[in-house]
Amino acid sequence: MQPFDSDLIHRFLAGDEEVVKTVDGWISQAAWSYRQRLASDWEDIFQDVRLELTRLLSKSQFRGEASLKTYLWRVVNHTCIDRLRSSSRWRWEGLEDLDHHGVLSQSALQGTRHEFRDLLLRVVEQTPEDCRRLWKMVLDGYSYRDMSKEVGIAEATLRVRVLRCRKKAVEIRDSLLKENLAEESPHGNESRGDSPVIA
Amino acid sequence: MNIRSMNCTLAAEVLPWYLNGTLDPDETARLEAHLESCARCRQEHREVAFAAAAFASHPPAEDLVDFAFHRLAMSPRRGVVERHLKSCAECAEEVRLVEASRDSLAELEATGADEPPRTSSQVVPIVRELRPRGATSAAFWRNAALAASIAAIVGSGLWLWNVSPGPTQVAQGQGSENGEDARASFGPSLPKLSAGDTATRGAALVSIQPGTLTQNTGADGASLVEIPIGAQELRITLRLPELEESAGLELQVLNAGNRVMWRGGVLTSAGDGLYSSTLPLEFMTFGVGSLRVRQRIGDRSDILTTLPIELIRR
Repeated sequence: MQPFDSDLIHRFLAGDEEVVKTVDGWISQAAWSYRQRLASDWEDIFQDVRLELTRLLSKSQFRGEASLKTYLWRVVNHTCIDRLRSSSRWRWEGLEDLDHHGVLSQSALQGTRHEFRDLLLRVVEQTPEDCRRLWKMVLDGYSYRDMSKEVGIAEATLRVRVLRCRKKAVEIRDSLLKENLAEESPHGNESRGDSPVIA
Repeated sequence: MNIRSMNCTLAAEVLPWYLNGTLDPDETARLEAHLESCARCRQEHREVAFAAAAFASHPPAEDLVDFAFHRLAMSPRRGVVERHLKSCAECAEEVRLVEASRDSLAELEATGADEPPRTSSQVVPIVRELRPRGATSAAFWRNAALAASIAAIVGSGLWLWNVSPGPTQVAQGQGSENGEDARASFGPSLPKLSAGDTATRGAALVSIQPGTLTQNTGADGASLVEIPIGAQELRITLRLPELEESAGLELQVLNAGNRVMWRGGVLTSAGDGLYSSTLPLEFMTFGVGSLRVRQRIGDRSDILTTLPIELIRR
């Protein structure tokens, strides 16, 4: 770690007025690109970033592989994207919910949550584009009646198509699991350096 | 058509909409009654939950940030992210936002203009010590948020928007972005076309609405724009008559110190060489500054023109 960064962190955590103001300025600058999208939540986000940065620096999560400024930029982006996602209409099916449904145990996947996430991404990669489009509408909260009007096909036909897409996704999953792709997942013990992982 | 009878075939078909909560109450009741008594359909329910999770899956935010910051170059994660970005507009947009933020860091580091002094100064309490989640009154949080907001505005205003750069700001001629001349100097200065500009002949500011525009009557010949009090956003129209390609046009706002205060304003063609974009007024800098048009096509990024303006409230 650069001695200057080390000094900066020490002074930030000690509440040095100049450093806190500088860091606040950095946070504002780093989040400019998000300001329009997150306008109504901006004050909360600013506080969240400040707290997150304080938490990470207090726990010595920053190891100095990049400059403190770069690290802060990534924390800000990380936090803003998480906020964007949580405020979107998109419905996120949490892995905990899946576990509740018994899918994790049913899938015979002995890997980590990262590996399971990779599996999900690989499944979607291999599904046809029209399946992704139809399921996006489902996840966006369309009823099958509204989807039928939007897509221009009969309700019964639409339901069958969505069902086929679901079956296709499960087939791909089973095929991937058979190929033991999960065991070859890239995550393993890969070091992410100064990744501002929000615990 | 309302589903009157529920069997395994119908149950399997409507389960996605049971999951997204859009089935009629009557359909929901029939389906739930069927699920109670049918183990096969309960298994179907689990598979639908898996499919929903798969189709709703995106790389974690940290992967997108690492990707944009080129930290995945040697990682297998890069392939996962790249493949996903090809088919996911939402994540592609998120990466663009990260890239815009990353570029602002590059600009800041090129100037090194906002480093704090290297000696300790007055110590103030920071929020970390004051904000145990859920244990403090709402009034406190409102005040804390207000204080932080003011600190952010004052902080960024003092460092970034002020037309009087401090002694740590770079001298004239030091490079900043794509060879662009960094004109930040001591005291106010008007931005002008620099070595990196692809001076688009005939480029001009046509209108800013709401407001009135008077060409060449502002400071040092800048276009003078009067903005009515209460305006929330500005519709800016420019003339760029010589463009071969109209894609990837971005409008940026620079302050007098030539810092980019706003980027990402997409310029759309209105025909006859006119291009428009709408910007929130909060990102405009009052006083002297400039509008810059940048064009990004593939890996290329060119500054097409920089137009000096002086913005005042009416």
